[in-house]
Amino acid sequence: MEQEEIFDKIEDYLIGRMNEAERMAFEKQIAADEDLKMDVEFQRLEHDAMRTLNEKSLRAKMAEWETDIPKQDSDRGTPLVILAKDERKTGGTKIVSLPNRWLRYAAAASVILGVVLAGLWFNKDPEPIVVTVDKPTKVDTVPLVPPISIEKPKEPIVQTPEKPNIKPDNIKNRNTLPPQYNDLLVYAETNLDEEKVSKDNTTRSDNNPNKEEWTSIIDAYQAKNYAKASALLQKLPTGNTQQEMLGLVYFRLKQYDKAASCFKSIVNDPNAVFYKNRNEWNLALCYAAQYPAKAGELKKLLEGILAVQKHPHFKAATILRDSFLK
Amino acid sequence: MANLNFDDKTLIALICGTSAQRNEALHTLFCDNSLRGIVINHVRQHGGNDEDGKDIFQDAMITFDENIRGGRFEAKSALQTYFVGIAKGQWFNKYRQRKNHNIELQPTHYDEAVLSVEAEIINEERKSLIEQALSQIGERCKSILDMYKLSYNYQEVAATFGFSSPEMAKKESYRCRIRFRDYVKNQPHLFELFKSMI
Repeated sequence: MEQEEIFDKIEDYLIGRMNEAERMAFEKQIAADEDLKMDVEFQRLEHDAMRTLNEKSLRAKMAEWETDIPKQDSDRGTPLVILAKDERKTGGTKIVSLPNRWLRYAAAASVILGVVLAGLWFNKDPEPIVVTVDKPTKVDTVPLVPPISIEKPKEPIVQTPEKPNIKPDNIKNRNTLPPQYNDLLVYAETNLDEEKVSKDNTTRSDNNPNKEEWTSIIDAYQAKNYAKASALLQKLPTGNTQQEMLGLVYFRLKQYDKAASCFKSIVNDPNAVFYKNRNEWNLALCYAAQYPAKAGELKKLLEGILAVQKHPHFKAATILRDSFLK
Repeated sequence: MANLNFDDKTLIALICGTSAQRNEALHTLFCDNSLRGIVINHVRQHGGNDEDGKDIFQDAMITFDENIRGGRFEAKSALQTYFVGIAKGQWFNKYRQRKNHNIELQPTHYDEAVLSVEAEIINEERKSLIEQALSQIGERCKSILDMYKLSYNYQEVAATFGFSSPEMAKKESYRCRIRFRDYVKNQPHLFELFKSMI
């Protein structure tokens, strides 16, 4: 057998690419041949060396990723840490909360006191007044001051959603649209996820056989020469990156149907999970730009995005829904 | 995993995919505070502190990645359970070493579905031999072997390192491995150490 053939066979054995019968036959061969045994052991050592390399590179990456770990609320302040008696021996720590009962009493008391003081401060009515609470707590309250009555506000307090990022210079020739749709179109145009794609492509172009073309496409796109970018993209082989970029170009050319079809092809591609989120969002914006014609599609897609709390566009999708579609 | 954007199948496919996909999947996993919290809490509740928990989380990432790519995940449990099981097993081993091996295995220390499939551990002697030989083969060779081991696929190696074909990448990888092997053979103390391990 040629050296390379032996190498490949050992490789198959070590990686587990042999079936049971092949493996047993090969193990017999190894047992009968000292040189082969030595080769197998060397190749096993090489695999361990490669495992070591994999481990090192993953550890290096994890060190870089440390800064990407989202901060939790508990990270912002010093948590209340009390060493539990049985844990002191082991050096372990346990987070212990204050007794809930007392916290509840304290909270109830402070709410009532706050309400009473606020009432005293604002009330100019000399008439005797009575404290009313929706669902009285079980805490017995002693009237400390003349009772007051507080009317509920007529309108429920609603948190105002963040205003969409609207750039007035983008509003052109939209006099025929109702104002709400006009704003929606502006919102779509100003919230397209395009920055990451450009960066991705720039990085990727280092190992890309079409490096020069991609550089020109990105340059054209950044110079807002969308017609040129479109022409260059049409010459490249069809692929997810090409489709995504083409979608952005069509969007900028206001050809929303074509843009939607590009983004949709990626969203529907089961192998394109890597790019799915931002293409979902951009597809939603295509529908938003065509509102109300694509209202059904937009609603359905937003529901999908809002079902995933960690979706990178969760917040933007919430704003879109709350500001325009309610 | 329950708290990630990816379902179990997708996550496995990404980890076994291209290096960019693998990075994306592992990065997502690494930044998942819920998973990290489960591991750290387990370690805290079993005699360790936060730092131990963070170390175990990283060790578990490495074993998890290796097991998934090596096809050792048998889908007996959800991926999150599998990950936590690996972490529990690793913490148990570490804690036992610290406490002079005098601890009996309790059900809370391990996950039955995981124990049988944990990656083999490279012992310290072997590690030292490997480190010495790796230091002699050059950065480029190390990168080629690192990438090859991730997927056993020469196509991505060829694309990344600019080889004209996967066959050329295979030849280069072979050359790197021969260089590694020759170094061990030509260093009497390393060769003796190597033979003692067979």
